Order: sequence, then structure tokens, then C-alpha cells
Amino acid sequence: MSDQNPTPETQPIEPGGSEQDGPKRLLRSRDRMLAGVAGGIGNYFSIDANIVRIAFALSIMFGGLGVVAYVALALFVPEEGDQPGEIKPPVIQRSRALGIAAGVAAALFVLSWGLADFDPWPFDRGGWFFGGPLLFLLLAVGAYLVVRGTGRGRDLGWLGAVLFGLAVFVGLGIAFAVAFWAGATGHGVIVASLLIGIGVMLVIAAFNGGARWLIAPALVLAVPLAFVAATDVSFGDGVGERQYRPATIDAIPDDRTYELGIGHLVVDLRNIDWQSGDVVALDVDLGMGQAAVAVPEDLCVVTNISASMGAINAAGDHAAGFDTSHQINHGADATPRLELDGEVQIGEFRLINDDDADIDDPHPWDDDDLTESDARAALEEACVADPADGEAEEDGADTQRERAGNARRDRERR
Amino acid sequence: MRRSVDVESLAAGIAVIAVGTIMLLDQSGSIELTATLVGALNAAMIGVILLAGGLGRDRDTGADEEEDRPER
Repeated sequence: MSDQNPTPETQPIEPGGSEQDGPKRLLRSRDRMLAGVAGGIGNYFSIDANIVRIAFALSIMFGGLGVVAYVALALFVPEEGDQPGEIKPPVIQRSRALGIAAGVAAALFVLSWGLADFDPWPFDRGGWFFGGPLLFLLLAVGAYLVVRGTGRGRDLGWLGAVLFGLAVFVGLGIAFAVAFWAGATGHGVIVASLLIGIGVMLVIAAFNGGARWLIAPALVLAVPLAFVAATDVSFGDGVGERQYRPATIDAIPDDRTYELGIGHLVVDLRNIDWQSGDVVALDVDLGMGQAAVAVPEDLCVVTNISASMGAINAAGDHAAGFDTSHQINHGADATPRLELDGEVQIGEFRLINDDDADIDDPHPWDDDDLTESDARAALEEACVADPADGEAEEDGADTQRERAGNARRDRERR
Repeated sequence: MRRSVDVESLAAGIAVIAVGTIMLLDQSGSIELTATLVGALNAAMIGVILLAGGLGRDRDTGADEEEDRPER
């Protein structure tokens, strides 16, 4: 795609227009990290180019307009030529193809504005730029640097290198997503077989000059498959938003299980009229996402919650990282009682023990009415046994445990 | 003349076959991998590839220097 320069690439300096003699012109510098814009501005204002580079980097924190300005300057500002006094016309003027490519890139840039809702804290206060545009630009810069590193950037030109690199990134990203999807839908054997096939091709190719380019697709298959293998994420249990608000214990599914593959799982048990003697053993299983269980403040809850990768926020207790677990009130026999067996592979498991807290509030324990210590104390207090209730509940509890055990065994067998 | 072997491709191929086989066993239910083991496995695979790449590059550079050296 060498479409450079159907028009003359350089133009002579007009009399009196040299850098030394005439008025100063803003030119992209040959001393460059990316497109020579910072170097050119540094030359123009006689300041160190690194100061300008730092200013551009800082501009990202203020909505990212500096990055847009950088791209615009890279496209529209002429460039220093190879010889002293020569000036190359702006990139946008060099060929129609480059102009079209720049237009497409600009359109993608604007489109990416609305396509991605990418608001990682604390950058959501940084302005519109911390959405798709930042993601797109980081990808573009990364693609350019990668392609330039392979030595192809010189042939393609910087814009071509960016577009080529983006195409490669998108292709690998799609392969990554497909491998993840296949693994999570029970087709991991196929992906693993493909992986072995690529390995065999690499070995054979090693004796015939090598095929290092196959390493990238191998990693693109191996990493998501490993992720699925490590976390047991399954799309088979469903994807999306699930909200369950049973009004009675009987409305809870017979197998006493709520599960979801990926998404947001809400189980709100606060509408149930819990009676003394009630004991429910409940399983809440989530592959990836967030699971939230809400219980009345005075309900005794015995927890056995685990997270392979992520966080557990249970009634004021926090645990985060790999293979985390939360167990409280084990051995309690107070009633009514919920024996909660929660599991999330990747994401967050949340237990809220408050009658009024909003289950969708990400920080319910920040409220003055429900501090973390209050929540923890309430959970422990609710499980202080009332001796009068001790005997009445035994039969019901055994039955519930037996049913939950049977259901779990059935699932494991399946 | 001895045919040269691309060390990086060879090492990567063997590592990928090893990881692929373990993944295949896991996915078919023969073994159960834990998150820690999978992480270590992938890190080892990437480490082998990088190591082989580095060693291969050193060998390539050494060969170039050997060619550049004048004959005595």
C-alpha cells in the first residue's frame, strides 16, 4: 500500500522563507517519538520537546483534547524534509488514499465515542475522552508501535501502520472472544485440539525456517481457554440480568438453587415472612459478574461463600483476591435461619443484611444508618439462639439440608 | 550443510502442545485444573517462549558476528 506521493513530496523554500531567514513555520520535526508534533512545537517555541510531550500526556487527564489536537496537527502540519530547507506537505495532502484513511479513522474515533461505555473509576470524572476514544487511541498507538517494531511501518506509512495494526488487533481480539465463548459453552475440547494442532505446526515449521507468527494465535487460544479452565465459567447457565424476589419460602426453587453463567444475579429474600423454625439451605452460584443476596436484618445467616477471582462483600466483611472465602455463624442453630452457600468464579458476591438498603447500591455500608460494623454485629446477633426455638426446628432443618444435598449431588452428576 | 532449526518456533511448539494437552484433559473431564495451576502453566509457557526467543536471538547475533569476522 505504498501510496505515498503522487504529488511532489517536497517543495522548495520560497525566497526568504527558510527557517533561518523568514518567519518561523510550524513543522513536524524529524526528531520524533510518534509523528514529530511535539518536536515541531518544541522547535517552534524553542523549548525542550519533552516538555511538550509531557504536556500532551497530561492533557489526557483533562478530557483528552490534547490528543485530538496532536492527531489533527499530525495530519495537517507540514513536515521537515530530508534535506535542510525542504518541507514535505501535510500528510493529508499527500494522497487521496491517505486522506480517505484519515477520514475513516476520524469516523471510527467519533463512533467509538458512543460505542463503548468505558468508565473505570476514578477516570469517570475525566471527561468524555475516558470512553471509547481513549481505548481506540491506545489501541491505535499500540498498533503503530507494534507494526513499526516489525519493520513494516516504513513501507506502510504511519497511518497505514496504525490501520494495519488495528486490523491485526481486531482479528486477534475476535479470535480471543471466540475461544473464550467456545470454552465457556462446553466446546473447550475443540479449542484445546486447535491449540495442539498449532503446536504441531510450530514444531514442524521449526525445521523449515520457523513460523513465529503462529505463536500469537496460539496464545490467543491458550489464554482464554486457560481462563475458562481456571474459573469454570459457563455460559450454559445463562447470560444477563436475573432478579429473584420470592414472597414465600415455597417460591424458592425446589432445588434451592439460583444460578447464572454471566451477568448480574439478584436474590432478594426480604419479602419472605420468616417464621421461627424456618431453615432454608440455599445455593447461589454465579460464573462471572455480580451476585447480590439481600436478607432481613434479623435473619440468622450461616455463610459459606467463595470467590475464585474477585471480591466478597458480606454484611460489612470484605475479602478480595484469588480463592477467597467467607464463613460466618457456622454451628449456629437459631431460627429462622438461612444457610447460604454462595459461589462466584469471577466477580463479586455481596450479602446485604438490611431491611431498607438498596440492593443495587454499590456501597450500601457507606450509609450512616448501616455501617460495616453495624452490619457485621447484626449478622452475628441474629444467630444468637433462642432456647425456646431449639427443638421445634430440628426436623425441618434436617429435611431442608437433605433436599439441598440431593440437589447438589444431582448437579454434580450432570 | 546442516539444516538450521528455529529454536523459538520449536520451543513454542513443544510448550503449546504441552499446554494444549493439559487443557484437553481438563476440558474432557479427565483432570481438574485449579486457578493457581493454570496460571503457573500459562506463565511457564510464555516464559519458555520468551526464553527461547532470547536465546535464539543471541545465537543469531553470534552467527552474524562470526560471519563478519575476517578469515585468518
